[in-house]
Amino acid sequence: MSTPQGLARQGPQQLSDRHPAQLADVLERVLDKGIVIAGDIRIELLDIELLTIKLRLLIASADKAREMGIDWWQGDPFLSRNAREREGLEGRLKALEEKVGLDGEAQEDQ
Amino acid sequence: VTVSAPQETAYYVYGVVPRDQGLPPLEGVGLDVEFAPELIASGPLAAVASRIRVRSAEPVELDAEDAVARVLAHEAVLERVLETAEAVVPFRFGSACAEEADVVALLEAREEELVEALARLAGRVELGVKAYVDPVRVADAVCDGDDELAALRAEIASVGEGTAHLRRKQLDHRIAESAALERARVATALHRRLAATAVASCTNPLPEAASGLQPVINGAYLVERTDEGAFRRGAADAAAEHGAFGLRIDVTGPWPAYNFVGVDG
Repeated sequence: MSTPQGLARQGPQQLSDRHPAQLADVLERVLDKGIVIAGDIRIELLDIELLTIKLRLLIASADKAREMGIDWWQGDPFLSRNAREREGLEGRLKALEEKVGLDGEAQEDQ
Repeated sequence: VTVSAPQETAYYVYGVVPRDQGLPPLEGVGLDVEFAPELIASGPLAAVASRIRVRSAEPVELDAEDAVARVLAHEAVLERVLETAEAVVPFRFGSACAEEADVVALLEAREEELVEALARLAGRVELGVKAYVDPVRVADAVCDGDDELAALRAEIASVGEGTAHLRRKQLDHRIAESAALERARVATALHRRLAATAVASCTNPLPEAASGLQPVINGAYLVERTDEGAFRRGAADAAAEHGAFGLRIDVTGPWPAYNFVGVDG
């Protein structure tokens, strides 16, 4: 693979034995719990921050989504849902996407 | 906080283990499959970390699926480590340092806290519990156990739709109040029972109601590995005891002890 970008795509195959209903449990823990690196030692990776924001948008509907089964994350529901409380996150997402040159691409599918 | 690293790779930190722990084979697992997680040691500690390529000129669109894959990769590394390690202190998603020296500095700066956490978690795992009741069965149980409500229900059933409207609203309100009380009772009883088999416990915000099930508890329990079976049996027994409410208990794990590290751990 000769992709030059930082994070190559990879499928969710690593926990293939995990029941899909547990995805909400994984997200609850990995995004909101655990030790946080603080201060100058921490580095903010744009890719990672983008992913985190997208997941936070997703998680608001995770319990509905989990009913949809194993493919629940594939619909990119953050594009179609209109929760007002997400505006702040979406603003941050847009700013970040502009910063990394993704502006416009996310709108193409609409 | 540095934004957008200029260098080629950074170090992504999954968690911390005792220095002498060693790692299970982790090839092909992790946030960047090019780089297997390794140990970066300092004093009595070692960080489970992997190099991760930092974005260069070419932009890539990462969708929700990628995001989930990445989080699962973080979790997969820690679960593999947990299989063989006596203890692991999990880090939150997105924890990264620019240089290996920064990871070492991190271990030095927080050595006391991390050593204490590893000692506390040794031989223990986190189990998650989400429990739900069937709101219809709770409402039925509430009316069956209250003569006044039962009489009100019978009265409404015996008169016509229109005339019963106000009484019906009154009944619904009373049932909702009693049902909330019953759910709180179930949650308290359940949590106490589960916590009795755990060395530490905490509760988190309830998930949204889904598919006709009303959540009553979202708890995390730090349990001795040797007590996992007993804990699961206790949960199953509790579900059977509250069968009248249609109680369903989902036990998940064993997890790295996310809920028992950090500021409020």
